[in-house]
Amino acid sequence: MSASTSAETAGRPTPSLLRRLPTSRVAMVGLTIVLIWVLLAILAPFLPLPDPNKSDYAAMAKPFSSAKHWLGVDPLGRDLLARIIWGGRTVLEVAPLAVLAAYTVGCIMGLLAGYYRGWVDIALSRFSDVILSFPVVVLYVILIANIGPSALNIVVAVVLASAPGISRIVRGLVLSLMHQEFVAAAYLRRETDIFVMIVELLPNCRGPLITDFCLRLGYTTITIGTLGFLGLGLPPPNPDWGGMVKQATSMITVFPHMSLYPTVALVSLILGFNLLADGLTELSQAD
Amino acid sequence: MALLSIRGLRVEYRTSRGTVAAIPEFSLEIGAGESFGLVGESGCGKSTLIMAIMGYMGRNGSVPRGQIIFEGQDLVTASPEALRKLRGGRIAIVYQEPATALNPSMTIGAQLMEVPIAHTGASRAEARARTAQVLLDVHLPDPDSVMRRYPHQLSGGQKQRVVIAMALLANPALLLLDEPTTGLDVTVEATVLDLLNELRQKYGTALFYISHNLGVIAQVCDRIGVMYAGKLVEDAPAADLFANPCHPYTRGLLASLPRPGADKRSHPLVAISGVVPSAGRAPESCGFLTRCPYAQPGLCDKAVVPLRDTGGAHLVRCARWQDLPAEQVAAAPGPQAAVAGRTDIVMDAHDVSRVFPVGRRKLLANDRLNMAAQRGHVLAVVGESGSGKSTFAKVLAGLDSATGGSLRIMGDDVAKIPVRRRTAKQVAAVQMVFQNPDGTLNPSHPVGWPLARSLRKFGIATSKADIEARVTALLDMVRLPSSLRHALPRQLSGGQKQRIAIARAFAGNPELLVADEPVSALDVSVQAAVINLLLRIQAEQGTTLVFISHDLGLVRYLADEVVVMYLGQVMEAGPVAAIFEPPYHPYTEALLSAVPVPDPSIKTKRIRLQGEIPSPLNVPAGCRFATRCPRKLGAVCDTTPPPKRDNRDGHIIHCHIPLEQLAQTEPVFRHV
Amino acid sequence: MIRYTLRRVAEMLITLLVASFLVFLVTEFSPGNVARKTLGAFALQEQVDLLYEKLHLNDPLMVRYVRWAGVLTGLQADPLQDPALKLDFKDPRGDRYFGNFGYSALFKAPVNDVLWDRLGNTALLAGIAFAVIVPLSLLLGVLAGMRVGSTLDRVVSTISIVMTSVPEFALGVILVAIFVVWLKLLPGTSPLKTNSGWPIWTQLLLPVSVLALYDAGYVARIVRASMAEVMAKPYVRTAVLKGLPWRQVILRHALRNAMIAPFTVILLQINWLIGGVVVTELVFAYPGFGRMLLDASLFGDVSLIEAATLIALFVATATQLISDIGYRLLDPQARR
Repeated sequence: MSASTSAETAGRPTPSLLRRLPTSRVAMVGLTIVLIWVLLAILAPFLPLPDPNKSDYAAMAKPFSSAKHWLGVDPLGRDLLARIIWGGRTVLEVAPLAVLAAYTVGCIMGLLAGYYRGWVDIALSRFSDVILSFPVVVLYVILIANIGPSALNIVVAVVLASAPGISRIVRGLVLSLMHQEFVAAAYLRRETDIFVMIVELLPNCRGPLITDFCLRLGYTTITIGTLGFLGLGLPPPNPDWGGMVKQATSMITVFPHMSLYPTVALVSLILGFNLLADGLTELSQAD
Repeated sequence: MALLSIRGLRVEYRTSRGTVAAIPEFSLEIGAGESFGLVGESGCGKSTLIMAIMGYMGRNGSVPRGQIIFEGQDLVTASPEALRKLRGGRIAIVYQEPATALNPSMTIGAQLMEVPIAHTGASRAEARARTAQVLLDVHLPDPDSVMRRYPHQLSGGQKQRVVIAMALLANPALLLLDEPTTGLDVTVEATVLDLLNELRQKYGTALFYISHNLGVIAQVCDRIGVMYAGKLVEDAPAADLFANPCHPYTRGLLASLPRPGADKRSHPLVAISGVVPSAGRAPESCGFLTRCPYAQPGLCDKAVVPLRDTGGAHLVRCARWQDLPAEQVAAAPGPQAAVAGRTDIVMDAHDVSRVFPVGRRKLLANDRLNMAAQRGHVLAVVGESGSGKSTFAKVLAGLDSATGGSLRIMGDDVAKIPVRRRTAKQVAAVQMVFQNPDGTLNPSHPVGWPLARSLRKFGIATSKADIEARVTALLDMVRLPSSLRHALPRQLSGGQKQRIAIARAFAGNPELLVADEPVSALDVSVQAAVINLLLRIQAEQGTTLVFISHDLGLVRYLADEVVVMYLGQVMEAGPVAAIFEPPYHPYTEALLSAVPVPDPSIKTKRIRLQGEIPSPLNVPAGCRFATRCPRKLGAVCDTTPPPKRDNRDGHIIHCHIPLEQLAQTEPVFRHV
Repeated sequence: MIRYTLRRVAEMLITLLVASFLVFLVTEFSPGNVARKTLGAFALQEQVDLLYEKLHLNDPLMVRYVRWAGVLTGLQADPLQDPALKLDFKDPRGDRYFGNFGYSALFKAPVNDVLWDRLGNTALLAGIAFAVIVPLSLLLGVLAGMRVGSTLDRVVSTISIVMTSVPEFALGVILVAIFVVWLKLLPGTSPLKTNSGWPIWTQLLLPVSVLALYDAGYVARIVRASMAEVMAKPYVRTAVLKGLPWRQVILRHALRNAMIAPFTVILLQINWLIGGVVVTELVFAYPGFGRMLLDASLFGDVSLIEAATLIALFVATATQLISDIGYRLLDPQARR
């Protein structure tokens, strides 16, 4: 018997989630939208765009689209297209950074709570519960209004608001993984707690976290836009989509394009992230 | 005319990789009142067939050709309304997992009463009366109370009885059974099989029973079909199939099962090489071609092999069935006898207890266990779920700690020392192979990684080259190619994963290996290969093996000593031969009697346990087994713990019945 | 069940306590001080210093928090109403009563005079939105999840993913552009005053739409996912293979189980709505609680922020409590 057992054909492997991405049309549409914005953001300094912070007083009389200003100008006579592209750059810098930071904190919290249980878990979970009871916008408003609007503070606020949610997901995953025999096998070769957490457990949280990461990127983009709209975004004159909409709403009856164009830009990027997340969820369920 | 006649049926599934024929071509007839069993390993297309009969294949399944004629009506072309009337009415089905087959948020009564209301137009009162009647028929006492309950308030065996009742409510002509006892304890399984036989007489229903377990099929069916890669390869009256198996696959299945009375030295198991091909991947001519030891190039791989009649209603689909040797291919010699003469105790458990506090109460998972394992021997611990055998395995490995008693392994008392506080030497001495092949390897790391990691952590090898060489040697030891080390666990079959787990356990040269049901999740043919491998390495290295199992057939085959556990305590212990012959502990006797034997020529004495295993939170004060014991003496069993009775050769029985009386018990198995 | 409820109520009170302390802590970061804000920008520095002294504002944070909690529970008199300060702050309810949130520095009035009217307006807005969200998202989600992959499913899924990608303010801008600027059918602001020329219901239409569309898309997706999951369960197969008509399979077997998970999510939408109203009220100049909270935060009006946060949190935790209890009633397995 045994001589031929090596001939056992391995079952057909399912390629990893990211490698199967091209098979999902939804995910590919999302990815394309996101990549277009990323490309524009990277290329912004090299594109033949007017200075986004410079007012063209001549254009203010007729702020609509023209050969010089493709999408027209904003209430202060600044080129809308340039401001939208540079605004995208800001969002694409701050949002991933904020989500990554939130993930670092959230993963550590979730790993500790799920691994050690007991009072560590109770303390971290209670703290998370308190943060998660706040209506999110209320939390952001109170925080940013008090610590002041800046890119760094937005990151801090996103970490505080999102880490508990991420921690909850990681904790749940860790709790179910702890029952798996490979963890016991790790103990039976005397691995340390840190090793088990980082090397044995964390990599297996990947799947659900990738989807959640995309969703949170979309949601953080919403947050940054909303804060800008509430007047708590990046300090002027930095182009910031939400801030641009806010500035132009008072003129919406006369110059609707000034608020509509940045709105469309924002919505398209969020849609991109959401479609990507949706496609990933569908792929992971197809397993 | 046949009740059910399947003609040239083809079932296809659309997948992301194109259309796959799960069943290429299938024909079968079942007569009214007949009991037909279909065996085959997982992936052979049994469940697909059942669901095709029910017309339930999901959005991506289809039947491009063939007919399923039931009572003169073709189910493939039947209208949805006609199908609806048949489903649950004329054809009913019993599912593999009763726990998920029942709606968790509806009472049992509400779920059952739907059937007569939908099919016989019964009023609610009539439906209630009928339901109560059928619940009594499936031996669920107090039907009114059962009907008010939710599924989670019933035990696994009770749920399966409810599902059977649901299937019988409309008095169907054909009952499809999809592995209805898989996952149930052996004593519960025996009562469910009894029930099916009884109901078949009473209702005159034809049975179509599918299972991977030949023993179970042998208990219920008159005629047995063997399915492989979506095709019927053999079809014969039950007795004839076991006495004279004609297809190499059928022979292989039988040879990979331990026979009653056989052990590893006299009758080594013979595994079928390879694994079941995935749907649509089997060779056209003969699906078994790639795994068949008798395959002949030029004959077997040319034309599609037809199903031929060998005479006596015995059909076989094999081009060479007349040329097959009468005997099995010569088996490799079994592992050598354990090192004789030395009575070196590697593991000695003395009054080991593990008590879990649950609120103010105590859960007695292990209650004063005593057992010992000699160097190089195989000590089997058997018992049903809830017996505490897995808890004891964890205590041995230090994954859990005892709350009382002493546990000497290589002389050190490690009963209360968890693995995190054991010394490197103590950890290396006890290693473990786990039950679930899917959880045993970390899905994120290549399978060679845990082997390398173990070698490094135990200081067996330090240099990169040395580790590489030793990983190769370990893979070679479990007969896996060294190229496999870079594969991820999901690229491996269940059997391959268990081989890696065995290699990992032996990486640190353990003294004691604890194997917790290492093959119960594997297919029969793979089971034999993994067991043979484990025993060979164990014998070569002189390792002591503690083998935890619920499978008495397997235990009989491989153990040197056996411990029978029930509800956290040892009922009986001793050399393997003594356990399987009188005197028996009444519990051991009942367990043996419940084992479904894959051989109609062996008659089993019928002993059935009543009731449910008591909660370990509330154990009987006297003998743990008293509440269910068929040979209970009286009040003394309820009030006084039974004495330990010494037979000879270290065979002990904890029972109030005197040894002499137990010795006069008739043996459970009898050849006819 | 009773013990569980009591435990949850206790947990809820602790959450409120911790959260109110956190808000206190965060306001420490803001520049300027309570005394200056209370007196206004034109007060002399000596006056500010004097008030600062009298209110013991240099006490440690913890001491001030306990004092604030004392005023709230009526155990202590509000120090700002002390006539000796000559601030002329008067609360008709007295200076010592349960639920005394203190004085709003922004509105120069007792918080209780400022708060409740606005809360009522917001409750009206959120209540109508909630009444629209629940049936709409349930219907769409169930129909889509019932037959995964069908045309209806794809349409519902696409619409809902687009809706969840449009933040409230963006949706507000788009709807205003269409219905106010282009079609001129509806008013662009909703001050809830009859003298603006637009009936009240027309003023509510756009804010409700903004709140409802965004959330309905999200809830419909959750309901769809839950329904799709249940439809794939073995017990639904059992129901089909019992020979039950499709209607009964859906209504008796699938629906109830599919509602267990979204039930919690739907109630948590109340929490989301509170956040949503902040933005929506700003877009439409709606005289509500959300805009008040925003103004209070921008001004640094600690008393008002604390009051508003406590109320928002109370609503959020209370709905959570209700959802947890409801969950236990819906799911027999959780009932033990």
